[in-house]
Amino acid sequence: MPKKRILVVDDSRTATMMASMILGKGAYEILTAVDGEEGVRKAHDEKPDLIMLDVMMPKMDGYEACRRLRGEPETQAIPIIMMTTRGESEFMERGYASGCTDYVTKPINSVELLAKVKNCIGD
Amino acid sequence: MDEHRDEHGAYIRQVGERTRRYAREILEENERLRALIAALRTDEERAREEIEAARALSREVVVLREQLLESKSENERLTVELEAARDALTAHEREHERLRRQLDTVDADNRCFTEQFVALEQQNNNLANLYVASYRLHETLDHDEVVQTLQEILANLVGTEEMALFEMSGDGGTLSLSASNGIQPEIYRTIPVGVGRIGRVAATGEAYTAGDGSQGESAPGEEHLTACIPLKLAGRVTGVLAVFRLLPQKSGLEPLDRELFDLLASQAAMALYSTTLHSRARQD
Repeated sequence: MPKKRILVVDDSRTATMMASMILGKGAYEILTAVDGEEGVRKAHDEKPDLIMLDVMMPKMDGYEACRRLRGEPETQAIPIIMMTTRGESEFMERGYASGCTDYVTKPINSVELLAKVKNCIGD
Repeated sequence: MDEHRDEHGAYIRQVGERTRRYAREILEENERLRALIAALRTDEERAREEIEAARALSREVVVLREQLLESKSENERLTVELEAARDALTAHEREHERLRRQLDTVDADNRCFTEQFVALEQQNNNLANLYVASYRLHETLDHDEVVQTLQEILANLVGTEEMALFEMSGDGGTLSLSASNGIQPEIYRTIPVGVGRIGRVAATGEAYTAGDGSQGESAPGEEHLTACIPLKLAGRVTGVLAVFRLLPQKSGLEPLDRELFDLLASQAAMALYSTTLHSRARQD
């Protein structure tokens, strides 16, 4: 069975490396993008099973990227988990309003992240 | 003669009277007997009917007796089956109880394994954090990238909202602000070694963590200092990493954060020193 693919979009290489280490050891194949624009483009081209989207990024932030992904027929059904340093409710509400499926705050807890990913796309 | 005739006539009349009376009595007796015969016939008919009814009843009794015998036999069979069913039920109850206990054990094992999995996953996460931090710090020889990486490590792996990186001056007398995030840099531009908590960390080489009982006065701007880590190379302090406010969702420092600080104390100093050497080598 082919591995499910997760696109991690974050301008911080430390964050993408950490997410890759947590998710890549299991049944998932990790793709990365360094900003919102590249994330939207890669999502369109690669059609991953799940997208993990940082909020604060250059060129295009996570909210805008999420709205664009939801606006395109090819990517509108892909689950999106937003990840951010901001855990306050207004940021979470903004994330959900832009169309994200779930939300994790940094520093990322691996158990929580794996549970949310599994909830979205299974093992 | 007449007298004789009269006597004879009286006798004849008497005989005739008696004969008539006798005949009447015979007729009456005959009538009575006829009635008796009729009654007897009726009785006989009734008796016959009763006999027939009794015979029918008898046949019914025989049938009922047979049915009773069959019922008794069925009852005995059912009693045996009931007893067997009771035994089976008891056995099933015992099996059910055994399986329930086994399930409880499996549940307990499962909980135990889940806890172990979570603990291992946490440990794995911690190791991954340390690995990523170490790998990232030594991935580049560019000073700005190392500083950027330090900021990323603190923001993404520790969860800091405000931080500052100080580097020691050549004479070892002052700390200069090299990079910051979330704070007003003006009041931290230079800090004399030994002054305030940040300065004391540079002077002593001992890390400071809020709430760990460290004594001493705070300098202005150090009110929200959460941790201060000396960056040391070969036992010499080459800089200080100051962590101020943590992110709102981060309630406090955890054991992993302290391990990460220990790693940064040596690895960040080494990485920054390597960038300096590399820069010098390129200039030469």
